[in-house]
Amino acid sequence: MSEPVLVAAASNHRRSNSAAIGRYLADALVTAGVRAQILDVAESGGLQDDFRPAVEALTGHGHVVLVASLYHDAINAVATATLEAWADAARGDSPRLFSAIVHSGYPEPVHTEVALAICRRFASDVGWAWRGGLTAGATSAIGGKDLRAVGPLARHLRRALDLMAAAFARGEPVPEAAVRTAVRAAMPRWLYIAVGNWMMRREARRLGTVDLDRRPYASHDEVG
Amino acid sequence: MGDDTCPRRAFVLNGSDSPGDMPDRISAGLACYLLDCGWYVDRMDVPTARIGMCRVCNACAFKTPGECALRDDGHDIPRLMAQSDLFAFVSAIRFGGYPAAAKRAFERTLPNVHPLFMVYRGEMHHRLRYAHRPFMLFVGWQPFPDAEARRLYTRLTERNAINFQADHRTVVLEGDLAPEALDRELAELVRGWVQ
Repeated sequence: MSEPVLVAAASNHRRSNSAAIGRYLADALVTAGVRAQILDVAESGGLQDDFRPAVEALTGHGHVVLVASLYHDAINAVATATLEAWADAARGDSPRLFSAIVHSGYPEPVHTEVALAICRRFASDVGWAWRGGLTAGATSAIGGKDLRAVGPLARHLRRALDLMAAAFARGEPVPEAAVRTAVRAAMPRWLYIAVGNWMMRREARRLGTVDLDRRPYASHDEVG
Repeated sequence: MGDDTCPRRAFVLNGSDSPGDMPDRISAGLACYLLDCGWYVDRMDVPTARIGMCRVCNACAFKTPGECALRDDGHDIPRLMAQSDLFAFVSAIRFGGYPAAAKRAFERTLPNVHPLFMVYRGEMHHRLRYAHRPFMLFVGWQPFPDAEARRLYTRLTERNAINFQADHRTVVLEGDLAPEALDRELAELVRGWVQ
């Protein structure tokens, strides 16, 4: 029998890909017959350093899933602060099940390995049972949209989340099939880089960027 | 930068949780040793500085390229890092990574990262804004020996250095070090690796 699941999306900004992934997972869990609640930590106070809603949301949920973006090779600062708030709250509390999803704009799994390991270590430190995690790359394509609206670019991630939800409904940890599916590339890397650079330059034109290569802090030996 | 006419410049980003804790003492000691060795040292202390969260607003990519839109102490982090020969980041080790406040400060280095992408060491990365790469020194502290946390922290700092395409050194200090013991550790670090 499955525990009620709290899906906590923790990002440094609003309308995040973490929230989009979290909403999809929460819906998949409900479809699979699991009681699930989605919490957007940034929207609920995380951006103002208020993590009380994130702590209060733990109540009634025996299984917690953190969804966080990679930022400078680890989970972002809001997600880190969320874990710290949960760690403080976990003292003397009943142990919970814990899983994590770490996603990145980079396609290669090597970028997110340490971040997921940090989440696993958090579980160990606070006495929560680690129920596995997923990493997913090339998630910039989500653009904060509903995962279903992203189309083929998010097909592997949607499939992985479906597998994850089905496993949780059976009371099982994240299955290996979900882990493998989530890291499958939706397009070749060279194409992803080319499209990414094209989109960045397009955005620069749209915003009227004068000098994308500006170096305001260049030292004297870098100039000229 | 860093020749006979111009002293070498260090930026010590003190990611301690509170004044007087071990990372704070490590940062202070490191800064002192660097000064004694003739370095010019800039230091920012996370517990007392105003460092807001990076909101990933992309102003530093498109609106004011290379410069953060937030006007707080964190606004200076990219400049201090870009203009240093040594960037030292000191913090406790939490869950094998950086504590949240320290992580928040480190994330403010984003303006030094260019929005366009490249392949570096066989991986996709952002380009960097500056040709100059400060040497990155990571000093992590944990209250007792913990091999797994040490391994995770070391791997994290290695990834950070790869992203900044910088040479680096990672040091993990453990335990409540008495002043003399801390002095010895820092003296060895500065003389052996930084000079």
